[in-house]
Amino acid sequence: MKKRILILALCLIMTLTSACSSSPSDTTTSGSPSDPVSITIFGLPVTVPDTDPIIPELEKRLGIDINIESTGGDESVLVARLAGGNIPDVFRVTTINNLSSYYQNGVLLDLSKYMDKMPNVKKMFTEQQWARVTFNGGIYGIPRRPEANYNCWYIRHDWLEKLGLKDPETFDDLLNVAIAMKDADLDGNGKNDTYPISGTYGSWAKAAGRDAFQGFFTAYGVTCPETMMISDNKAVMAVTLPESRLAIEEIRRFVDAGVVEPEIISNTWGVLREKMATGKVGICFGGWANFSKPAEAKTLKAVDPNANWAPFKKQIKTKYGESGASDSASGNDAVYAINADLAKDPKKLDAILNMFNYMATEECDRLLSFGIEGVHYNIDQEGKVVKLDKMDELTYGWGIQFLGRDDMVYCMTKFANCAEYIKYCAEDITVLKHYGQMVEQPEGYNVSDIEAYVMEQIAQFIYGTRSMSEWDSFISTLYNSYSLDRYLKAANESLIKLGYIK
Amino acid sequence: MVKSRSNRIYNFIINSILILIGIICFFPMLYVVSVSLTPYDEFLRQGGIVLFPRHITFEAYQQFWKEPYVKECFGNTVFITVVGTAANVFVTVLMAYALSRKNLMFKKFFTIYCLIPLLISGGMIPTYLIVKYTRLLNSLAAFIIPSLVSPYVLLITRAFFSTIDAGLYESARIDGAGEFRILFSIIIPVSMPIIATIGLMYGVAHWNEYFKSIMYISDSSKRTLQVVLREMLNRANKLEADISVPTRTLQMAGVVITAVPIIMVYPFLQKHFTQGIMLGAIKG
Repeated sequence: MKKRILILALCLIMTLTSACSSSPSDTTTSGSPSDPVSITIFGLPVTVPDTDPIIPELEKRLGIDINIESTGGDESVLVARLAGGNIPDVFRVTTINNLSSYYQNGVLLDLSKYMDKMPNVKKMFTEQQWARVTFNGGIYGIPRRPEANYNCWYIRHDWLEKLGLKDPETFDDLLNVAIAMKDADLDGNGKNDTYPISGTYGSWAKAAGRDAFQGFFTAYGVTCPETMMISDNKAVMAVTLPESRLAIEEIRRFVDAGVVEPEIISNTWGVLREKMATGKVGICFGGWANFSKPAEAKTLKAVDPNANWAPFKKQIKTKYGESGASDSASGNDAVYAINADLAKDPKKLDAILNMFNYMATEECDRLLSFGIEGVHYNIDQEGKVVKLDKMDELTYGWGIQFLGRDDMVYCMTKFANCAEYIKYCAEDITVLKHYGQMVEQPEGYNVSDIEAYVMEQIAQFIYGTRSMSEWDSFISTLYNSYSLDRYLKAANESLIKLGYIK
Repeated sequence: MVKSRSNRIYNFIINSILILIGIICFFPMLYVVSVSLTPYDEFLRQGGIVLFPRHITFEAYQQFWKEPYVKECFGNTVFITVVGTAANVFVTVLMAYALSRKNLMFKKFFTIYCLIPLLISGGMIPTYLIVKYTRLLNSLAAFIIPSLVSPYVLLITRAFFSTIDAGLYESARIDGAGEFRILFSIIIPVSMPIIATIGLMYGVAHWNEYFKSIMYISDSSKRTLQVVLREMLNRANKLEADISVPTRTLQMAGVVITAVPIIMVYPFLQKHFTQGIMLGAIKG
């Protein structure tokens, strides 16, 4: 019996030590001189599939090994790695506040000394874009190229036609359309269960520029309430401007008329899409990729083949502005940073700088955006990229476009059947910029606290669980309990430094 | 036995309430499975409520199975659940047996020592450092070794062992059995309820492992199934031209694949599970 127990215990120990263990990769040494340099790129927002042909091709072209580590965009893992001294070679930082905090902890390499080794990268970005990742004269991150606006108000045009109504141009028109949609039982299910206006809400929806109420705020000339905008050449939190209050009062008019979906706060895009497809919703703020891509359009027509979701033909106008989108002035918040310890490993550092420099060439840009020539795309006589069917398999490319992409070329090539909407959102929709991602966070101040508080309270004001008579008290709380003054001071300093405020 | 009328009414009411609660519990599971088997178009046409699919399709399962690294992650989850649970139970039983013995030297000290992690945990970064310095990063052992013993489970097991009649030990001792013989030939055979209980507790925890996977594992092929599920569900909230928001049917297929194997274990262990919890609760 004892023998059996001992054998069992030994088997267990052996299984644990042999089958499980593998030596963790040492991220700070380059290995023997003959080995290709191994580079870890950490924090990708998407898992690159094992069938991926792009990274192996990049490795082949550069003669290096690239280890991609995905975290699904969760930066807490990076924080643990940094605190544990297990710093990846190259890592994705999602906000400028986090970059500033890592800079203060001394984990970032000052790239200003190495810019002559990355001339293509240096050329790719404007001085303002570089200034965003510059602290005390040192450059601590590599920016990414901005993306175009994808978002605007979409409406069921087939419903408008059924009702004999035109595209709304004012909020009164919009309210009439919404009430008519609500009363007409257009989905024909015999129930009064249509709330025409819907969308998504919350930090993720804001980050994606898909806040349900953006159309209202922008029409009143302000960005989303929790964002930092520039007004009268000064940094202000949008919620403190009187126009924000007017916009909320406007939204309340719609809520009181019973045309705003009560579940906006909890909607995910998947749930919302079902509501759109099943005729529960008729007006929605979102991106062309959610409405117009063939697969999405097919879903939206699954129940009613005549369903025709398309952007408002004209945007809503008020004396304060025009409904549009509210977007970060950075155009692409995340940046890539390099481990400061690599200053002691010139071979690896050179390989990384060379990699980024190559990524800033047209050749590599095409590889990361469109795939391999002859397999995923061809080049026509005018030098333009022509999509091949296999390009549709590269659905994770956005995660490995380390320097961003030429967004319009990318979208127009890859999603040519959405060209009309891509151009409309990028060129015809007014985009109001907010600047929170440009601001170096004051020490000990957590911007996400005040943002979360504002979002929560605005939802309460919109749905009437907090009375508008308490508005002034709410604004006072921002200054008294959330030290908004400190944030504004830091914002003004940062935006003067970056040249947004003269 | 003749039951009175009031007794029959009482039983009827109790049974009705229990059946109702059973239906309420069963409904979400039925919904998840039904939606996962329904074509998405049909799901939409039925207004998002499907209890019995008219047409059955496994398309959503095939699609989930194509998610990056899903096969490897499924294998990892099965591995850490089987091996991890076996290791957990083995070590916990050894520790609990020692702590339950009256003649253990410094018994009070060891008991308090084992209790400390129940009250104060190491925290994320110190634990990360331990995993790093023990060279367990990026290895499946990181799921098993740092959490070999749960103090809570240890206490339950120790309490169970303490309830075993001391006469059993004495008679075994008189027959010349050593501690290992007593433990493996006498104590464990009479302790199957608690072993099934703690096995299930550890097994469920391993099966649902997410946090350790994203913290300690850098190689996508060594992660657990829950990470694949989370990444797939998260796609619904990202703004990217390339992303296709996962359909409800795909989401539910993911839920079925990640939940059903462990749910299937419950019926086999349920009898022991309830008994084990109660027995463990008597003394402690």
